[in-house]
Amino acid sequence: MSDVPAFAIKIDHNPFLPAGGREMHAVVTVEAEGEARPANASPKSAGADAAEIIIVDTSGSMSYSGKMAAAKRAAKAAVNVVRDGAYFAVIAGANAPRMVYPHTERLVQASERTRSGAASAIARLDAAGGTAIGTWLRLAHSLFGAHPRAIRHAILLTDGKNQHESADELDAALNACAGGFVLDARGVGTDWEVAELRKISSALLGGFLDVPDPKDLEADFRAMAEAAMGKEVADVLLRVWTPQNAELRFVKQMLPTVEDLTPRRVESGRQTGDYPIGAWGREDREYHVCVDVPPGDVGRQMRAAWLKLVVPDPDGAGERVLASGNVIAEWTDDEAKSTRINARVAHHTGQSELADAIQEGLEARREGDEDTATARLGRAVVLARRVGNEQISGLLDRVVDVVDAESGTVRLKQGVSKADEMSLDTRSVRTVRTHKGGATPAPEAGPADEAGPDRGAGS
Amino acid sequence: MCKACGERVGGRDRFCEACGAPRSGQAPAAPAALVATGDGDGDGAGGAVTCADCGGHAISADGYCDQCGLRQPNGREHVEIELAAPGGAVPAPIRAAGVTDRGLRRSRNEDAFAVATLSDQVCAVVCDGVASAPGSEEASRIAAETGAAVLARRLAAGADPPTATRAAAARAGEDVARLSEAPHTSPACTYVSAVVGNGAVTVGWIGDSRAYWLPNAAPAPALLTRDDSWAVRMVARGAMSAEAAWADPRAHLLTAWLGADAGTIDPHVTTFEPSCPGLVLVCSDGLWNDLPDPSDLAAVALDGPDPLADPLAAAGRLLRAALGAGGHDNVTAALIPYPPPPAEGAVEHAARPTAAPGVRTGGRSSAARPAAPHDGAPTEAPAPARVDESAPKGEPRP
Repeated sequence: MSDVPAFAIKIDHNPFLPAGGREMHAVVTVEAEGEARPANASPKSAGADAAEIIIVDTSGSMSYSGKMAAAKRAAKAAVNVVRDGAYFAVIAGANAPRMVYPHTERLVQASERTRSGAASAIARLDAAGGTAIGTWLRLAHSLFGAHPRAIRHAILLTDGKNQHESADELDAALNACAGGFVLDARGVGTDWEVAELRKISSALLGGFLDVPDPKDLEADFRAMAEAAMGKEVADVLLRVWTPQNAELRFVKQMLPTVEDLTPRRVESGRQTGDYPIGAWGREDREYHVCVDVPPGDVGRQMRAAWLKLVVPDPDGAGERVLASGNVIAEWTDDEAKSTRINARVAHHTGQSELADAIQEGLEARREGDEDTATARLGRAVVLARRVGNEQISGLLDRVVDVVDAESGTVRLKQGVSKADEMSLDTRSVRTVRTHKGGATPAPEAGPADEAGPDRGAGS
Repeated sequence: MCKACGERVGGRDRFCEACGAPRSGQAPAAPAALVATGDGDGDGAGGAVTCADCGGHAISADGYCDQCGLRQPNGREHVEIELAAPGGAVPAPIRAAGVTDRGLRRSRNEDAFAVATLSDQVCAVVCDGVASAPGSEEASRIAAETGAAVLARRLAAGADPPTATRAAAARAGEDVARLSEAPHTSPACTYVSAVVGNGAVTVGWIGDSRAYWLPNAAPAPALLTRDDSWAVRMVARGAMSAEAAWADPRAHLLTAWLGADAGTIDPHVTTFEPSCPGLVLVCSDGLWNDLPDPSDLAAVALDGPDPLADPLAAAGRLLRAALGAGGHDNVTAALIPYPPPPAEGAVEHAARPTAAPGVRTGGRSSAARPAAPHDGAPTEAPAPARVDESAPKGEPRP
């Protein structure tokens, strides 16, 4: 598989713990590098197949505000970037799912002929009926079942709440589909529910965004399908080993979005658990790992976590380890070392708290608890500035009037538009990159060289 | 490479520049010296099967326990070496002894030492890895090993002690420089060597590891080296008082070291002739930081029943004193009794030409005296066990 990108794991953390200290934080950067493959290039013989399903909500409400017309253009645009030879299908969703293209329940290989057949079928779509997203996902899952080795990706567009099945039915569908494919979701208009779409896309390891203006859908769908075509390795696992009697407090994806992976752990061996992290192209993502370790004596070093990127082999012929990295802890009685805070850990801690503050603030606001809403959104204003997340700062400005950005004193705005509120909620988890150079020195590294050619002695 | 002494030989040279051995032909079986290094095996954890902390049965290749995660000892945490005089005497008189220890605050021991003995001379090398340069643990180990081996070979080949001292430091510097992968992360270490015998003590150094003369009689104990450190430089320039200089946070910054970024290696070399028996101490700053005064060191080292006959016990007393004072750094102390006890049973034998072209003579004392040949290869110390050279290593060659 010479086609697979070169993976690397980098660890940023302050390795020093005070005497008796237990809590170790690290930022884990996973990079997949190599020459980017053009999205529309034909698949190389060694590369993995791609399989793409486009799911378009065709419930009755889609007929308003030009949403259906925009959705059709968007679906066609996505079909057009499915590369020759890759597998695809288009599904229409209402009270029940329906195959749009092909007409039978299977995926077809993309070609001039099938893409144009799909475009004609999409053009004939009508909006009628309700919304039962779980049933749509189950159909997609069964179609992907014939392509277990492909890189499986779906795009879901919806404009409304999941009203025509129960929350339990949706949860059951998500459980059944988890691990089957990666789903990116888009909410159009303002009648869909942020928490619901967050739950769906998160369970299926994808992202979701609001698309306030239907005319933006086409470019967005094209970009999503292109990104899916750029994926080269499916079903990657982040494997985490921790010491005996240690407690892994959390594993969070922090870039491009905040996503708590902790509950997704699947035990994979003694002191070892796997966290599914989906399909990868040439990209990088960051994770924040926190582990409580049993304290060691001053001067001792411990491997507090051992991280590996693993690709399981569906044929059971053995898995591949793509990269690995270590989080080393060292106990010291030097307070200057143990109290240092790694800049990247601080940055991601701030972004994580920012996402929580926004979601809690908006939730309180919806429930009429203005005190909590004011306090949490005020905190969000402070954090957004601290981590340099300008998009979120801008969105917060539409929801609150900032009296003092330093202290986080804000007043809730009256008459906030539904779209602005949903946009802030949706984007609360989208993070910004840390600038380079936030690393602290490795264990035992002393102060930087001071005067000219002199260097710190071994004392 | 010269088969006799291991030095490099120029492409057209017919004789080795260092020892004078012909380039081709039968090489002597081994350098005429016993060398023992105090570095442990360097990767002892790889061979361990049981975790020293939790009793787990798997240790990863990188030295961490697969169960409790603790980094395993690598064999350098505490090493003692005792080197006996060559020959078959039982019990053999001890020619040198040393101890190196992690101390109480450091996660590893970046000090290393090696000792070597010839028929009438004894050598010791102590190196201290620069903590701020990654890989310095390896630098100190290689520098001590190379230094002692080259010293012994050069002396055996007839070089005078100052010449051998300079050559050994230069070779150690080259070997450390080769460890470098990038200019800003060059592994680095200090270096101090002592050659004791034939009525003289020759000391060479780069950095702030030291040598002391601890006489067993009236004359005052003395520091034989002068640190390559910021504090010493400030005092030498008259820029600061000793008290102010040593109180400065920059006091211990090195002004010279071994490493790829060190430039030309130019060791300081000094020789003196003791007037009475005593101990020559070579040590790292982990010892002298807590006991800088030669009299204090002498009081501790000589405070035993027969310190000159049992230098290992004296080294142990010095280590305990340093640990008692806090053990903030790695501690290394190597001791050579003066005069070296005779090599009983050793046969004086002209093993190879000593006046061949290329041999630098004209130095001090009996530089051209042939060494006692010895069949065993240079002896590696199985750390952390003591090296006991009391058993004969081989028969003198006819």
